[in-house]
Amino acid sequence: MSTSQASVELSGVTLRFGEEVGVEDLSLQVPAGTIFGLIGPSGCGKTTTVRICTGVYKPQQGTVRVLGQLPGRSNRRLREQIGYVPQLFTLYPNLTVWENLNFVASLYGLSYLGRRRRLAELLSFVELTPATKRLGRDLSGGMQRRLSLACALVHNPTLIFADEPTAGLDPVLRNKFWEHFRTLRDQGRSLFVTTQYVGEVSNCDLVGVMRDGRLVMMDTPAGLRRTALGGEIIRLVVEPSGVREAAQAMLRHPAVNDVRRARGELGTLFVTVERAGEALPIVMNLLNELPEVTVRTVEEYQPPFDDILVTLLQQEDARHV
Amino acid sequence: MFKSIIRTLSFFAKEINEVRRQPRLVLSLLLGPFLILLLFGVGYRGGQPTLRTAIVLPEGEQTVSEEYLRELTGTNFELISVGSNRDEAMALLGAYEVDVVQVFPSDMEARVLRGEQGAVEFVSNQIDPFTEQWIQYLAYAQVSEINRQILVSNAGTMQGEAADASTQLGEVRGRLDTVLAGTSNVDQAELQESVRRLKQVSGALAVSALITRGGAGGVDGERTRAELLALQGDLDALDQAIDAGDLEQERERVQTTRDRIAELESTAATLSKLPPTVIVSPLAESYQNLNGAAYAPMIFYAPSVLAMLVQHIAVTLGSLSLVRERLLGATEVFQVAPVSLWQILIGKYLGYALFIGLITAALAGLMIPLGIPFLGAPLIFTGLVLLLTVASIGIGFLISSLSRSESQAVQLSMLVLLLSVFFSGFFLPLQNFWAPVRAVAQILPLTHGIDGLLDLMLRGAPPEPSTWAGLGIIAAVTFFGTLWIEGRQFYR
Repeated sequence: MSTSQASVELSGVTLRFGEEVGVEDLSLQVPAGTIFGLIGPSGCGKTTTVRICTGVYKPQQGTVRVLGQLPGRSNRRLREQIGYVPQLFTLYPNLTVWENLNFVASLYGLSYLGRRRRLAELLSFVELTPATKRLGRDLSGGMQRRLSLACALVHNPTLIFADEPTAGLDPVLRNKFWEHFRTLRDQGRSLFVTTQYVGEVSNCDLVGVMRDGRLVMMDTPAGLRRTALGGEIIRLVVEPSGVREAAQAMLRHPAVNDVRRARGELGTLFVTVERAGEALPIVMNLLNELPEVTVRTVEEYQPPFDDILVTLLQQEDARHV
Repeated sequence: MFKSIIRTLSFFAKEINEVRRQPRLVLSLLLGPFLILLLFGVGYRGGQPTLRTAIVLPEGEQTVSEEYLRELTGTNFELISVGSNRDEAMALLGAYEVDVVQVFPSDMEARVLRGEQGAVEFVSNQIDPFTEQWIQYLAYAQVSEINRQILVSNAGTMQGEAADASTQLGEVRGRLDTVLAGTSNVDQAELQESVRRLKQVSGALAVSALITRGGAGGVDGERTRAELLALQGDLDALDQAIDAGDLEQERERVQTTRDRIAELESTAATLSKLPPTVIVSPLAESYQNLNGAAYAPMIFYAPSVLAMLVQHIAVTLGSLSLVRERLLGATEVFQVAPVSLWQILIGKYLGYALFIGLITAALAGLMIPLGIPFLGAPLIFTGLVLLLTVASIGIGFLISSLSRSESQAVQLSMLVLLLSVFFSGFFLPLQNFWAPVRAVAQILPLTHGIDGLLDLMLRGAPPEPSTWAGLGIIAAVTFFGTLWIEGRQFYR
């Protein structure tokens, strides 16, 4: 990927806080027009990474390019193109929704002409129009988050950084947020989102996994799944009497990498293949040739990303032992 | 440029909106100080204390009336007890039932004749140094007044002697006129008796203090004394001549004596007619206030109270401002946004200045019905209050940039208030402080605010250049100081 196509580019970035590592030798590229998700446990360096990208922190080593430019206080033009949803609700409890949004609009130098229409559009986008006159302190957690998102979008940014924007929200609201993010991406913007909710990575175009200040892997969600599982998984349920024969028959086939029995589920096998879509008909044909085997169900299996992440991290640990 | 103005005004509008959303804050900031000022004006009675006093008189002198004692001790000493038992009076002092014990000496006349100075003993157990200073001053004033009254009384007595001398001089002069007229009806024995009486009286007059103090009435004391002493010689000679029976041969002496007596007669008459108070206190004070009269305490302190309120409100708002943004996490949003620290600070200055300006205007409006004058030009008043506000907000911002928590910011604001109460000249005159410590006063906006508002409101005079300079320097130093300190965190 060329530099001009990357919305964010970090190369060998290191930042320490005294003896503690913030980020260590961090390198990544985020393509423009994508949703990049950065996941990892608490304290692994996600927020530090966001702050480096937004210019709040200056790294001690390495280079940072955001929209092809060096982030920092002196680059006002770049800062006008960045939107930021911070981790905590940082708006004012004594101001109304409208006043908070208006304040941020002024912060970004938005002209007074046409501002009212713009703010109304944003409030409609985040579904806060009925709460326009409500004070910040009277908003629910979800409403505060939506207001933060609206504030980050007020100046029509090209690149949006969102630091754990869905933390503390219920699943319905989280889903809503990701709908907004997809809409923004479809409008041509780039999003850099950090999250502790592993399951949310399926909403991302590209995912980075951080641990102890380091980026341990970076791939698409499908790519991460393949890395963790060694391929894609087909879940096969047969009559318990035919399980052994079915397993042996599939293990002999070159398209199958591995077959495992499910614990506690009689007659259930997990078949690892390169491409589930391509391998499914092959598996079906193979099993149909076995009269002792009666197939109940066969489908592609996608384990939860929590399991995927744990597997990936275990693999990572094993590599370093 | 336009965007820069919009960004600056974002903070102006934000601060105004935040403050107006707290009506209780606004009300407390407005009504609270006004009620305090009103209470002060109604309650404050001035600085002179009333001291509960026990008086101990010498034995045998308790017949002195209480009215006389009150007149003697003045209105500042409130008589609680009058007696002759010193131990009882001291017990009252020890039990804090009186503030002062006065013990008058006995045998005053005998002491004076022995050349001893009697002492009116004042005893207190004060721990307040200011009240003690008052006691010492009032004691001095009371004893001085007693001494004056004694001198006035003595002068009256001496005037009696002068009147007596005048009579004697007249009698002897008459008899000597008869001698000089050459008549033979002069009774030598009576003449001699008169001469001897005159010698006695004039001798006493010659040593009288009245002769020295008679300068108040235009009498040359030294010359008069010399004349009286010379008269003594003349009278001796006449007495001897009468004894020897050759008074006729002493005609020249008789004429000289007669002329001297005539001059002294005039002097003695003058001395006897002088008011005793003029003899004892030839000078009296005359006081005039060009403004008519000094202001009542409430009015005098009103400008200082106004200045203090402006400073306190400004420092409080400023000190919480930046630290709250930091704790809220808003500073991080500002660091990402295309806004500079200059724009943030100036926007906040504008917002707070407007708010405080409105509060001050409302307070000033409430002060007018209380009779507090605003003699100076309104424009200069506005400019002074604005500069005081800006300087005070600057102090607040400096505190805010140094504080890591709201409680820390509040503590430092209270410190500034405490410093201001002690070192701004609000209650304690600055000249009472050691010179290096007085320098502390110069870094407080309140010091300059008080000076300026006193001149403006109560004298109608524009503030001194030093007032403008002091406030301007504080405003500039605190602004750039905040910019530097806050900038080190903002521009990481």
